[in-house]
Amino acid sequence: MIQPMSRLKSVFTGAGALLLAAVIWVPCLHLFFRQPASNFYTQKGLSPKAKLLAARHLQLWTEPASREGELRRMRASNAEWDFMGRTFLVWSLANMGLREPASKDIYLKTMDQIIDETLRLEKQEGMYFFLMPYAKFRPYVAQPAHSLFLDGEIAMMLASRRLLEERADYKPLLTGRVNAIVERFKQSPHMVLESYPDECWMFDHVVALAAVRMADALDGSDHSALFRDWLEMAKHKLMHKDTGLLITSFTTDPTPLDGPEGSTIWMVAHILQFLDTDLAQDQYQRARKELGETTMGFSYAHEWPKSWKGQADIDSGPIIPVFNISPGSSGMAFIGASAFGDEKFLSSLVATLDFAAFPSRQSDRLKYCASNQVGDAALLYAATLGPLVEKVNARTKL
Amino acid sequence: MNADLRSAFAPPVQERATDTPSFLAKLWRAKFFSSKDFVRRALIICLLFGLAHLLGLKEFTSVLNGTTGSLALGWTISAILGLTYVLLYVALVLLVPIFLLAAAILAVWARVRPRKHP
Repeated sequence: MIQPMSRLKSVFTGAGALLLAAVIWVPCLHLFFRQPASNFYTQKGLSPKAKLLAARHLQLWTEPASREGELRRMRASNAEWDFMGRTFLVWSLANMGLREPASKDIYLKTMDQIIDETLRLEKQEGMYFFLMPYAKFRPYVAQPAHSLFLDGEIAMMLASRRLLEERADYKPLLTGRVNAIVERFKQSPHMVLESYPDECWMFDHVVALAAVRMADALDGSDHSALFRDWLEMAKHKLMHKDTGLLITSFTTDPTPLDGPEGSTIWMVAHILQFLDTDLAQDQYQRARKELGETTMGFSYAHEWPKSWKGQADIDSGPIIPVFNISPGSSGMAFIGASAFGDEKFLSSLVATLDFAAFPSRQSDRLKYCASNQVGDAALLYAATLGPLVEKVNARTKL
Repeated sequence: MNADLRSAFAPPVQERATDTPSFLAKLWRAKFFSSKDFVRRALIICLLFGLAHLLGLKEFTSVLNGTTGSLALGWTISAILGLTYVLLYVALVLLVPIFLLAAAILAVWARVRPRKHP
């Protein structure tokens, strides 16, 4: 029979061994997932991960049954994801075409397919098809109702396609949408436009303005006064004082609704590269300081800075406790890190992605099971962005 | 042999239950928090994770971004399946190596520790 003291001693010895093993293993874990940032993002050509992610997305658009399944699952949670999965993919393909001109025709075919289908659905089903149900709960303040979310992203899709290669029938579509956006900005007393009833989003404003700037680069128009005035307004009225970060959403007054959020600001910082490179850099650095985090070699991002208390929502994703990891913010952080050449952060974000997002590779295709089609499309965009910004900024002066 | 003789030569009931375990049961038996116990725990986690993986539960981890793994199974069941996979994966990458390292540490300790001589 084992003596109680002896048994207690062996339990303590075992517990000590476990503790020592944990102290050895946990800090080493990231070494098994560490890889150079160039696996994810390269200045020229396409990175290995970009190729794999792109192959999977191109397959989705050639296999209607697979695409339907993906879209139905996403639409069950959020109809916006269906729309944004399209826009991120079109923007990615435009960048890929500029990086790899030899494959341009394949990319153009898919871009046109997505754009045409999106425009058809918008016309056939109305703008609410791509919005969350609460868009119908009350009327828009500005009538007739328009969603800047849809108009801005569609305009940027059309402009991206035309920047890769001109398509005559898309020119009036882009001009019409851009003119309508600009007109509404002029009519708005505070230069803010709704995406949902009395709900305006920073993400949608910068995307819409970037689309206008792309149209300027394509068609020789000049909206620099609009960009200057809007940026001045945003710096004065839409900035969170404690962090110096742009807020996420606001009413038409404009009264702030949501403060700075990771699921928005990383993309906003990148899109500002089309409009104001200094402000873009400033916003990225602030977001990196307030939201970026690295623990034991794994990087991730919080949804809110310490000075702002927010609730988890469809954009942040479920917040992982203890570390306060936001899947939404962490995914979008790839866009910021790639756009601003933050290789160290990007490298450890990729380690986290391969550790915690459950990569699933089938032959030459890659998807992340913890993500979805829109999440993977945003990752693809992060892995390919750059050429569109360079092309637009080379054509027009800020 | 009649029933009386059989019962006379048979071992006591308690002895039969405890002293004649199968080979596997003997192999499996381990003292709590011993080296063998840790290896045993690591094996159980590996087996459970392997099972979850073979059953395709990885697809249900989309619960982490708020997307259901299967519309047919519904949100709750999909979430349970996805979280089960996540927990087993975390156990696989964190606990299994820790258990195996701890087992190795105990084995080394058993060899090098000073022994009491009678």
